[in-house]
Amino acid sequence: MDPESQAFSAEPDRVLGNALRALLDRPGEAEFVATVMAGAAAAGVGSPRAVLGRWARVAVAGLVLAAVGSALAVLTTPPAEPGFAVDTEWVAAATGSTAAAALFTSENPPDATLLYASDELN
Amino acid sequence: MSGAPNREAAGSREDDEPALVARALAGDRTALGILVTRFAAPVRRLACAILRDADEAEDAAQDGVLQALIKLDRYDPTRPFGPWLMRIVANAAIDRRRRRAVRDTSELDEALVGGGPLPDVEVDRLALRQRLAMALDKLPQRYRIAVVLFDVEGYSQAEIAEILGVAPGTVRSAVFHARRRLRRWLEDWKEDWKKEGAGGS
Repeated sequence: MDPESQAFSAEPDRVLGNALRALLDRPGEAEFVATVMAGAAAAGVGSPRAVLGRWARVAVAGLVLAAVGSALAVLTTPPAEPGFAVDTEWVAAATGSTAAAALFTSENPPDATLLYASDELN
Repeated sequence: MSGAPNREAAGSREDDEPALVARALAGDRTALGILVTRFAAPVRRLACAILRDADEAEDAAQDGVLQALIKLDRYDPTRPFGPWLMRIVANAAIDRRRRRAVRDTSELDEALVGGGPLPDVEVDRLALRQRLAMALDKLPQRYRIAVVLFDVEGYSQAEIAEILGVAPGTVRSAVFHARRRLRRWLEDWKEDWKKEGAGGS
């Protein structure tokens, strides 16, 4: 058989594979497993602390995401329309007076001179 | 997935690996032990193929598996566990090979060649093993890894490409050339062996 002429086979070559496996296999698998498991225990793999730590990381990440989301929501929400505009219209419609509307809906205290002026008229 | 003996034996067991990982992450030592035991032989063979030194390979395989276990929470359970683990072990072995001068690989088979006269069949087997070891040593590292993962461990070209971080076409080429060289060396050896046998008798 001329190896040069062989096309690539997508199937594993079992003869070559078995020969290589026999070459690479070594005893001591149980010791290997024991050493790795001891190392994993020493490193805290799967320990309650590691499990809690992982959940804590998830919780912290969730909180950070929630905080960022809230901040973005606040920053991107357009400012609300001034509430008194509607009230002004309502009061004006109800009283037929824009002065009354200004008096009721103003954020500033009423101008006392207006009251005195009213008394003087009476 | 390809049908190499190793993967056939593993068969449907691979399906439970994400569940085993989840159990291991939740603190189940038995699940962790099953995973380590299942992959002990393949990772040791891979490290040995890369380093060609028994002691170095053992250390590299242990380091690689431990690294994988420590970052087990980064494993994506929607993907096969084997290639993920093998990639970490391969990188650990390659890093070790880069860092340290590799000792004479002949010590790998020292125990086999020493020790007095052996029956003919045994001598033949050991000679073939020696020849294969030498042939494997002469292969470029990528060829060695590719042919071992494909023909020994039964990983697909796509999985090996993921392990090595190369294109599947590169894996195909590496396996092809590795096989061709190994077969050629082994054929040459068989011819020499036959001639020596005929001359000696």
